[in-house]
Amino acid sequence: MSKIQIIDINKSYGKKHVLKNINLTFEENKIYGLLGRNGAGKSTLMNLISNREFPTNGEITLNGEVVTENEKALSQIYLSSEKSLFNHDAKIKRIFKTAESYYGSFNWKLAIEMIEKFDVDINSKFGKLSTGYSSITKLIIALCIPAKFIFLDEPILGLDANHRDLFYEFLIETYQEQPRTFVVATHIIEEMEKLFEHIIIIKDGMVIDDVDLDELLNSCAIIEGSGSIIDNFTKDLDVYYESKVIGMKRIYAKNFPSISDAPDGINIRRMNLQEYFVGRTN
Amino acid sequence: MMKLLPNIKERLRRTYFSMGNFYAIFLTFTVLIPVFTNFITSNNSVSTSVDPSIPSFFYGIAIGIVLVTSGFNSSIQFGTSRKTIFVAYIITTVIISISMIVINLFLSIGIRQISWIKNIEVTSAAFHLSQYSLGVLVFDFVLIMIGFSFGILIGLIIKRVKKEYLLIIGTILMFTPALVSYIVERLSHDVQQQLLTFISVITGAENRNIWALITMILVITIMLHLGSWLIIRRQPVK
Repeated sequence: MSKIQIIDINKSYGKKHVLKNINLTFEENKIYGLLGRNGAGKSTLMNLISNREFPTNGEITLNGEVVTENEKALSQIYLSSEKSLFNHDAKIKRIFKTAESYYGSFNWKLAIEMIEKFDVDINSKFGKLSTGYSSITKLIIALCIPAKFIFLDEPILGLDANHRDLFYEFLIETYQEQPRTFVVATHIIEEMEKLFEHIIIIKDGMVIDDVDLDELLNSCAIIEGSGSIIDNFTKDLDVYYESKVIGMKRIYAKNFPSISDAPDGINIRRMNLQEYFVGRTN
Repeated sequence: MMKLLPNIKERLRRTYFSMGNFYAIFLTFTVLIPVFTNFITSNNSVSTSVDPSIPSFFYGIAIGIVLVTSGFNSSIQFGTSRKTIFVAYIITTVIISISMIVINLFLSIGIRQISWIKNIEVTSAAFHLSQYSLGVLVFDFVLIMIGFSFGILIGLIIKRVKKEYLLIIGTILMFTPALVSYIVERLSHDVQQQLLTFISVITGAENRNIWALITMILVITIMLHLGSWLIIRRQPVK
């Protein structure tokens, strides 16, 4: 069973400590959501895993082998990032062929299907593409190369709603046909929630959550009410965030067992991932 | 180094394409335009000697910079280690340098064979030798190699160093000759003489020894590569 382990990773740029003692494991054949507010350290973590940058200390391993500068391990890891590293004067078809030569194979069948569905002109130069088509090109490569761990940093940047739906379809289809690990960093949480199996939340360079999504959402609740009723009801709960909405108190609670027996004047409901994330990172 | 071959192929593909452009421009300015001028003016008395070595050296610098600034990121994207990228740089520059020597040699021989090209000779400026000998060929080879190596180092410095520091480095480099000359002028006559003799010996100027010059260029090339390695081994993607 393949796995990537992040062991005591720290990353600093001068005096700025961007990642602090990160310990994580990415297991085989799972779809992870890597969430965090802007500047939380998601992209830096992905850059370290994919050998784009070096950790200040700590190590990243794939099946026990250190990943940094290790081509055998790096052949199993692919990062499609917001920043494009391809030659901007190269045509799209040339980039696909280059990817094939580096990885030894390329899923041309899927690539052609995606090219047709997304209506990509493979004779266009990469540097001339719009943000949306640049994202699509990067996604095609990410889905068609034979790496076991695919990291997608803001994969749907610039994609319209139709193309986003199409991408989700392709992601699920390719995941079912050829299970791999996908780690997706995104701010479009509501839309992508349906894809995630496991959630990692980073705040100020530290991992604050590393849990299965179902387990997380089934144990959290939003409790709304006003006055002393809600104060009394929530005083023994594991409250991690509270806000006020038009005179009403809204409590975000973890480890909340059941939402069935709410007293009068109290409204309890399960939350979605975006609500959990906003409360957790505010 | 499982990604070495695709790295070399990718670099060669890009470099050969630009090399085609280089020779097209070179031949236009050094052969076709003089031939055309001679034809228009019907003046066949002016003979021209064309030397591809120096332009090849400058081309090497330019393409070395381009290889680094455009190729590094895409290699990292596809999981290549920095060690492989560095080795690929060296192998690519050796292959390209040999290719250019062969092309230069064919140009030299070929142009002599073409009857309508008169009074134009493709030669090497090294030691003012008009005939290609093994020494001249090797000299041309190391000259192009050092151009590439210098270009790669410059490219890596451009990638690594912040723009404001680049300006400072550029300024220091600009004033270095003046500084060296200032220091040399202040040395005693004996030391100046010793320095001159030393330079004459290592460059082969003293007894017109091309192999001494080749050795010196090779040593500088190795030093440039060493500098490149020190930068590239921890080069982050920017």
